[in-house]
Amino acid sequence: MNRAAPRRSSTVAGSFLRAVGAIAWKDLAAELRSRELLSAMLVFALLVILIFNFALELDVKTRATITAGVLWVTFAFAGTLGLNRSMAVEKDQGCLDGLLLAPVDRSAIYFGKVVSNLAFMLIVEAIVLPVYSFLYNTNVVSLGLVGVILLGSIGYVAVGTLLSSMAVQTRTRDVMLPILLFPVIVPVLVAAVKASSGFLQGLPMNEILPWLNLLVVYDIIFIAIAFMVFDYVVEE
Amino acid sequence: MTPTPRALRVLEIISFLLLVAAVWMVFFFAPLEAVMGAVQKVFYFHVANAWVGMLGFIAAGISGIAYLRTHDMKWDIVEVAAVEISLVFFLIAIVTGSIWAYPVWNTWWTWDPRLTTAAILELIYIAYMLLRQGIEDPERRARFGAVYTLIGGLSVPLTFMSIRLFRTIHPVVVGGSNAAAQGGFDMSPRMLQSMLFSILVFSVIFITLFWHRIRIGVLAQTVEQLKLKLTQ
Amino acid sequence: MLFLDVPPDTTRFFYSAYAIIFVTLTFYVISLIVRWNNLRNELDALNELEKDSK
Repeated sequence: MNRAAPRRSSTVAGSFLRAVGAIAWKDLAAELRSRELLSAMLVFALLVILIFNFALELDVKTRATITAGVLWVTFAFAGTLGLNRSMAVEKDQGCLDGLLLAPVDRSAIYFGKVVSNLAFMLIVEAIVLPVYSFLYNTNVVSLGLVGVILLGSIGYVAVGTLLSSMAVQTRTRDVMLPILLFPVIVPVLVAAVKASSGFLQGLPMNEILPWLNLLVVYDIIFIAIAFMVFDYVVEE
Repeated sequence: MTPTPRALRVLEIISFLLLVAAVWMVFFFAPLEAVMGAVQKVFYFHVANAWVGMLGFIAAGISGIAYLRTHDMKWDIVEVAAVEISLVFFLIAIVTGSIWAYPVWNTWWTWDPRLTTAAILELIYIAYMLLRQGIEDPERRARFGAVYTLIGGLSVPLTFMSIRLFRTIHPVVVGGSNAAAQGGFDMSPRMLQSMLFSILVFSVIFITLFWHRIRIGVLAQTVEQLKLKLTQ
Repeated sequence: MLFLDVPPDTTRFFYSAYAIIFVTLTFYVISLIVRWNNLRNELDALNELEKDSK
């Protein structure tokens, strides 16, 4: 593991954050120019919503109870796309090897990727929500829902980044990620769907709070584990 | 290659005899349950297999952590053996549970916390095996396997808790309120003895198969290393 | 649930469940045996090869 030469703690933390920022910015800047990943994720998400429209025959009353589920399924699938592409690009262009040679803590690479993957996912979600509201003539955008989506996405991306780093190094690559990720991300999805559903249906806060707490706890647990274990996944 | 150790041969024989005894117990010793009839007897081996499947899960998790700390390949061999055997036993548990459920609950499946978690656990086992199949390098395979057992090992209890919470906050309205109530039964002493004995028997079978599977893992590693050496 | 004098006849489920248990276990044990034998043969062949190349 590479460590910076001993310095005063504030500088070490500073250089760590700078490394995280640099890695995240590398992906975001590249995406800003090409917009390949975002457009793919976005189009995919909208197509999923379209398919749900035909598959589920949503009348207004039924829609209220399953909107949360439909949204999260959409986000989960689109998120997989983003995670896969994001890691595949690293591997194919040899960026990952370059990053590993840099005198930077491995966990900075992990957090950098998490930040950029999270940014992509949030951008897609930010567009899907108003579009969904428009298509179904209901307003789904609310502060509570946005908060839940943020928390849920954090958990999703935390584990997803770790597992996509593994998946990209296998023979089956893209196909491997959903197989690895979905069974393991169930607790995050359950809490996120329940909390989202609560906000969408206007349930009282004390009913939604347990799910939000659960979500925060899961996020912390998964981020902690993923970042501790990330070293083992990228070491050569 | 080392011949089968005597202890293992003895264990094989004991496992077989115990299994015969357990079958006899289930078929003849355990009483016929009044409400469900013969199908209730599926319970004995169903519980035993589920129990053993969970054992393997824990063994795999411990092996995974041990591998990451020591980088000793023997832990990887133990880990994959534990997952593979648990996969088989847990599958048996799920299928027998489903067969038991049909005449009793009138459905092959419900989404209650235990069953849902069981399905997810089985999927994690399968995902683990698929992950390993997709990696050529033994060292990387070991590392990734260990990482995934860790993540899975953490996730499954969390899943169980969340789904439990899910069900208590929103009681199941369609299809009966408490699935456990239809299919629960009071255990007579003979039933309890049969159940405990079945659990014991399958634990012994687990150890026997586990040992054999580990031996296969060691042999496979020897073959792989020899192949590598000869192609250099 | 009616309280019957005679328990319902669910024996076909009982038998099919146990049949599945034994078939599955048998298949698994056979797979272990087959894999062991294949590995043994491979090892013997490789040992022969190693001896020849010396």
